[in-house]
Amino acid sequence: MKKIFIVILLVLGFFILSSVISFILGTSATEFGDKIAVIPVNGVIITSDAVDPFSFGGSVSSGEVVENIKNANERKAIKAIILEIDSPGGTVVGTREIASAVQESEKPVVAWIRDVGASGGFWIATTADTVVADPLSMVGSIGVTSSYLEFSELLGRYGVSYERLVSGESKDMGTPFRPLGPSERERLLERLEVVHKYFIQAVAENRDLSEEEVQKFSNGAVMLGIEAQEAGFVDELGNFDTAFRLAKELSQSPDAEIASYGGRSGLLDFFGGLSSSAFYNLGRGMGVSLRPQVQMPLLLAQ
Amino acid sequence: MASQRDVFALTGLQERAGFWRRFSAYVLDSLLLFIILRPIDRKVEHLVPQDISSIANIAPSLLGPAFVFVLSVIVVTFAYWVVFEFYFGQTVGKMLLGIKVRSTVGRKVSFSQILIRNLAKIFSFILFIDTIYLLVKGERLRFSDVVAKTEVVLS
Repeated sequence: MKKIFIVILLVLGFFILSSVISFILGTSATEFGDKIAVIPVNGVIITSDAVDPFSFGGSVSSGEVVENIKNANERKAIKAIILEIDSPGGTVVGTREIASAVQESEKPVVAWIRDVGASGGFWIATTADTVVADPLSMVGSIGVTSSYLEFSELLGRYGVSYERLVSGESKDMGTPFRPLGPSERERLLERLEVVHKYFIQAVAENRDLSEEEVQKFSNGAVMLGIEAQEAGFVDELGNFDTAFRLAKELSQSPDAEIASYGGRSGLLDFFGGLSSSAFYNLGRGMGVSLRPQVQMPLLLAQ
Repeated sequence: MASQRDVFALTGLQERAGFWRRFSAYVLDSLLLFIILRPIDRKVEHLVPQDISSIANIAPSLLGPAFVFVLSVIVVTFAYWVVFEFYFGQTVGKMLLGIKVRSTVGRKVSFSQILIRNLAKIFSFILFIDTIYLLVKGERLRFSDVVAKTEVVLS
């Protein structure tokens, strides 16, 4: 009995020792030397924390990115953050969550746009202290979409009817099984306009431009990185080395090393790269046809 | 020809523990160490979230200050094996599997013997040699046991 008691005490003692050591490690910022965090924002922005293993082209959870940004802010050794953006956009709320986290960051943030920094991806980039893009990156797409496929006619052809049982007239607004009523369409478009205005205001504020200047580019079209720089949306043209240099300059950490925050990948992320090859294929329309259509949620997507 | 078991039964000597019993005890001890080291692991996870390759971020070289992290894990791990085997002749895993460490020269196993036989716990290449020796020689002894003049027997 005495032996068991001593054994338990010893095991507890080791656990306490381990806890004390971890406390000391935490306070001394074990990662000696300055670091620049590289946080990926790759894929369609969603709010769910569950990575969809079958998402084609990949998705990124806003919760995960926000957590990474907060973690980077907590770590003493991290002096600046590079947001590696390759995203066509995503949900409004997910985008704003990440944008808020970037704005609240106490450490300088450099947005590095790779293939695509469109719509929600672009909104996030504008919140950073400085934006780097390749001259041929796809940037911009200041617009909102909530388009979806509506099947009522197709169902009708096959004798399938939609039994509408609702307590409120607009309860099933946006269901793919019936057409939108004229007033419903109007109401939805009004809401899209509200989001669109938010988008324009945010970009204007973030990039220190007037709303009129941003409005000129707010028809939803994408522009090349070089065009975006001329319009005042991108600060420098370049690649990762450019972003890294700027991050070191902003944080005054010339000897900083990289601290990489790897993202969780979906099973078919490997195939996501295939969609990139369609971006400049005019016949398939900039790769949009390869992106999954999402019913109803307001999307800041290309 | 009498088997080892027969010899032990006749002479009253304790039978040496076989590979699977020792391996099982090692697994149990490793699980317990996983729990004990969890606070340090969690700190590392906090520092290098998601991307395990970023362990390089905090342990770029053994000569750097990051050695503190590596050293702390080594110290706690080694201390567990040494303290338990020296004071009880058994770790928790060995207690559960009913085996213990004994000296082959003298009544009580000495501290230096315990230290030598447990070097394999922190240097994996020694553990590799030990395992091969244990499997090939058929004497139910690790190479470290031979060097330290210890054996693991049924308790």
